[in-house]
Amino acid sequence: MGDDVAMIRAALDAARAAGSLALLRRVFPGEPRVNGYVLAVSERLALVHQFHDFLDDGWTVLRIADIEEVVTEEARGFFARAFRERGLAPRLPPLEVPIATMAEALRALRREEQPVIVECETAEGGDADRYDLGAVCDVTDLHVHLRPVDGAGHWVPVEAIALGRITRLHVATPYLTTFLRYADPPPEMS
Amino acid sequence: MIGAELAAAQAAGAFVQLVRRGRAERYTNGFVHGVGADLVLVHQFHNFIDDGWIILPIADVAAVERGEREALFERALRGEQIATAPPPFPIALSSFAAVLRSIEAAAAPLIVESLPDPADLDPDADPDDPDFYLGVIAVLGDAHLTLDEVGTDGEWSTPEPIALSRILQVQLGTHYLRTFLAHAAPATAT
Repeated sequence: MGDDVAMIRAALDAARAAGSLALLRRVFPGEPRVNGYVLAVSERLALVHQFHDFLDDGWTVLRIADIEEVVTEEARGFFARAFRERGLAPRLPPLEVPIATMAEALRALRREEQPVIVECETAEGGDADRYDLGAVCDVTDLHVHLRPVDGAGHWVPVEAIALGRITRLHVATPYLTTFLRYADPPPEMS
Repeated sequence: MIGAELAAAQAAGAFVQLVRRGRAERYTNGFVHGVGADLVLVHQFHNFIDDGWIILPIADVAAVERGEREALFERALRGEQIATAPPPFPIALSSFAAVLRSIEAAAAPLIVESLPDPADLDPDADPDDPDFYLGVIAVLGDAHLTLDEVGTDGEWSTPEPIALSRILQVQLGTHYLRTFLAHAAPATAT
């Protein structure tokens, strides 16, 4: 398992160094593929500028251990060319996202008052997956305390999510930005 | 029951969420633009992005949701000045054959998803994972559809005919379809 993770990490780092468009195949049925440019790789996590159906979809922080395969530009000639022709080049996120750990990434989002989508995906998918959109209130050694917004745009009481369950973060996605524009105004954060 | 709810949503011009049965993408969000005996036509939206039209079996819809969440999405789309619209040509909804005849008459590109033919199934493939075709209609018979298809390499080919009885859903005008074809090899290459 450790060797597999090391190989995936090396493939991610090679994609990052080459600035290659990469397809990441993941173990989760809910979102088995992530398409984009790898911007940073740490021991356990990767930061990716992601695209959905040729649309810029902001940034995501992913666990390397959940990635089964990294398919890079050489194998994706048509897509890589289409991305170049559309000017879909890698971009840095609007804030620095350190990725040594999920806790570190979430603390940076809290400092910058950036909303986030937190996903806890499972092998079963469906209702077993957890998805929360909201604001980071606090990050401890074991949990993130997130004030979520429900699907109707209402802010709900703070919830603690175990850091060990988090498989993915989304930052500055168009969906997140647009959704919050029409949700209730955020409450005072302590 | 579901058919009546879909018809009511169409009459109200309301943004709804269709909860799908047995599909990896569990939800279809958008505005109903037509309801046949067995099929429904939806102008679909993905994360506030206009994503063209989908025709799917009513039997695949487990529930039609219209609540605060859907009202927020409708408000956001209005706020973003994104309007719903019918497809650019009439689509008969009496059967998938009728749908395809409408699309053929308009010479419109489309995406077809179908159940894999067990006889052609790769032993390693998931029998529930739909076949995905993107292209234009080459030949439409009484029982089968043949497409001029664009593969993931951007090149055109003509795959084996698809049994109409195995079609799961049809899409047109999606962002992916339009972008993909804009960068594919010219159709004259077939």
